[in-house]
Order: sequence, then C-alpha cells, then structure tokens
Amino acid sequence: MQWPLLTVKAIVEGLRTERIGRVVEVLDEAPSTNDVALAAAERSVASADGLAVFAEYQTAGRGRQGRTWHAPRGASLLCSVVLLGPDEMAQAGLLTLVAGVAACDAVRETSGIWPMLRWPNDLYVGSRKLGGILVESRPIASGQRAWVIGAGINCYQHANHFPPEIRDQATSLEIESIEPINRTALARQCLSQLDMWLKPGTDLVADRLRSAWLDRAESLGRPVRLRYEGRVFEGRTVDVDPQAGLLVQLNEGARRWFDAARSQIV
Amino acid sequence: MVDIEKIRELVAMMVEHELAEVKLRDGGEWVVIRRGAAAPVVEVVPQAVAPSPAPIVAAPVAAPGGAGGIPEGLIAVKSPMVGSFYASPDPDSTPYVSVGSMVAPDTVVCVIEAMKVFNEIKADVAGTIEQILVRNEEAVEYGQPLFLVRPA
Repeated sequence: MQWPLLTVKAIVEGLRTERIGRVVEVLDEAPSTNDVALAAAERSVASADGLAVFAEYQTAGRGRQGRTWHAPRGASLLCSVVLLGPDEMAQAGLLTLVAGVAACDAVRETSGIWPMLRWPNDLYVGSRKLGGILVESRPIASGQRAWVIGAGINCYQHANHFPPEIRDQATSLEIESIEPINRTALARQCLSQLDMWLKPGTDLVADRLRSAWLDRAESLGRPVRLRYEGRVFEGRTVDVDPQAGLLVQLNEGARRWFDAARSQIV
Repeated sequence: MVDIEKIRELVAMMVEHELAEVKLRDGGEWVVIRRGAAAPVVEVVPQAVAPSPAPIVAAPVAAPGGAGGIPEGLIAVKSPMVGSFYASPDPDSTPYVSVGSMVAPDTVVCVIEAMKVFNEIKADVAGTIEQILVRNEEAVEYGQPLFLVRPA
C-alpha cells in the first residue's frame, strides 16, 4: 500500500512553534521513535530539547505492558518529542496529560474527528482505540532528565490492516472520517498543540490542564480493567480525576478508588 | 491482645471484598491488615500514650530496609516517586541489574512507572547490588528503598 510519506520540509512549512519541533527528523524506519529520541537526548544534550522524531515504520514500537505495537509502513503517525528538564519527578504525571490533550486537539483540528481521552491518555473514537501515548524518561548528563513523549495515531488503516484479534477494538482516521486524511497536517498540529502547553514562559498549570483533560474525557460508566499491585480488577468507571485516579464500581460489588500512580489500565 | 479468630475473619472478608487494607482498633491496640500479592500481613501498632482522640491513620510502618533498617555499610537506592517498579525495560528482557551486578552512579537499575510515564532510575552510587528489596510490578512509595548497594 502506498500512502503519502512524511517529509521534514512539508512538516516544518508554516510551523510556528517556539520549542517543539526546533529540529525535526523523519526516519524511514526506527526501532521505536522513543528510542531514537532518548538516544539523541543522551548524545547532544541541550540541542535536543524540542527535537521531534517521526518514523514511517517501527520495528520495536512499544505499547502498553511492553506489548509490541505494529502498524503497516506509512499508515500511522509515529512521533516522539524530546523535553529536557531538571531530574525531578514532580511534573511527570502532568506530561502524560499534556500529551493526551495535545494529541486529541491535533486530531480535532485536522480531521474533524473528536476523539475522547481514556484515562490516562489513550485516544478513542467510541469504543475503538485511535491512538496511544507512551512517555519515557532517562537521566542524562549534568543532573538533567530527558522526557520523551511518544505518540502513535492510526491514520490510513482500513479494518483489514489491524490484526483480527483487535479489529473490533481499533480504528483509524481513514475509517472514521469522510474527509481525506492529511498526515502531514496532523504531524504539524501535534507539534503546535504540544508547544502551546510547553513553550518557554508557559507555566504548566495543573488546574487548567486538569479541566482541559476532563473536557476531552470519554463518558463515565464504561467497562474498565485495571491492574493494581499485581492484581487485576474489572468494573465500570464511576468517576475519574486525571491526577488522582479512577473510582470504579467493581463487578463483584464493591466500589473502590484506584490511585493514578499505582494503577494501570490493562 | 487481639483475637486471632477475629483476624482470620477479617482476612476472609478482605479476600471476599478485594480489600487491600483494614485498620481495626481493639482496646489499646491498633491492628493494620494489609493484603499484597503474597500472604496477608498483620501489624499490631501499640497505641500512643493518650488513649483519645483515636488516630485517623495508623502509625506509619517502616518499609523493609527502611530508615534504620539498612544494614551498616550498605546504601539504599530509593524510589524518587510513587509508582510501579519494573526490573527490566520490558517483560521479555533481562533485568537491568541482579544481585552481584556492579553499578556506577549513572547505571540504570530499574524503571518506575506512574500514569504511563516510564522513568529510568539510576543508582547514584558506585558498588555492587547486594539485595533487591521489591518485586517486579510492585507498587512503591516515595523514598522507599529499592536496592541495597555495597559501595565500591
């Protein structure tokens, strides 16, 4: 299948960001864009801040639970962005929310599709997953830490591009939209939306971010499976707070709060 | 003295209702029962001098190898955040370190994850890993010792 490829020239054309996308790279293939971005941050500290790495194909893309994540060459938007900061963890949770909100808005701006965020930062259209985000961080030289926001958004896939076992749980912009899909515009918007939250002089205000996230959150009452301290719980969401966690009505009857830091959606 | 039958009943109730922790005041004693992935843990916390008002939260209990529990001559690598502990980069890989591994200050020893943010944690000390104090995927607290290192 031949889909239009990304080029650096096309992505940066008209890109007006202050921090994100100061340097843009497009790779034909990468183990994962997060790996490339983390390595670049280690190699060239300082100049790596704001670097955006795109790849047409990932040979070792990572998803939840270390699952390998596959997409046909050129079908998804695969992007990682580097942020450098002090080696402290206080804002780690906020970055994952920024990434979700930015990806959600980038899709809205370029496709007319309004995806919803499933805690903490997966993109859903109805009950089908459109994209996901994985943030990784690594300590680098001089007491700094490199944060890498990695996003994968399904663009050109048809249903038969997804493996049969996830076909009814996955979707793409092509499937959802009546408009032609422009992956380059989506790439540019991802950088612009992230820049709005992360450019110099912008305080990452937790309250503002929280309400932006809640505005885009999918409705409550959906089935959820969580792992908490090594055990799996199933139920329906009763309440959500992006930073505090999920209140879940468990299938066996109890209602229980799962705190954000220790719970994983499985 | 806390009735052992009562504790048995409570543990059964906790299993039935998937509860992680129960705190019970019994006369002069506070009993905290926690269920992890392994067997339930019962801690009896002697009550402070004043009998009332009752504490809302049980007295903090030192984590294994916690402050004061670190053997002399060893240094603890502590978690910089609340989250889940991962010993390896992904489930199919070998752990970053194991007992006997030599580490430098910038050696990555584990990943701590919270809200799908995976953070590599470095040793910050040079030496040999003497003990690993947490299991893979276990929830960890801020400042909780993860490894004991014999400094080089």
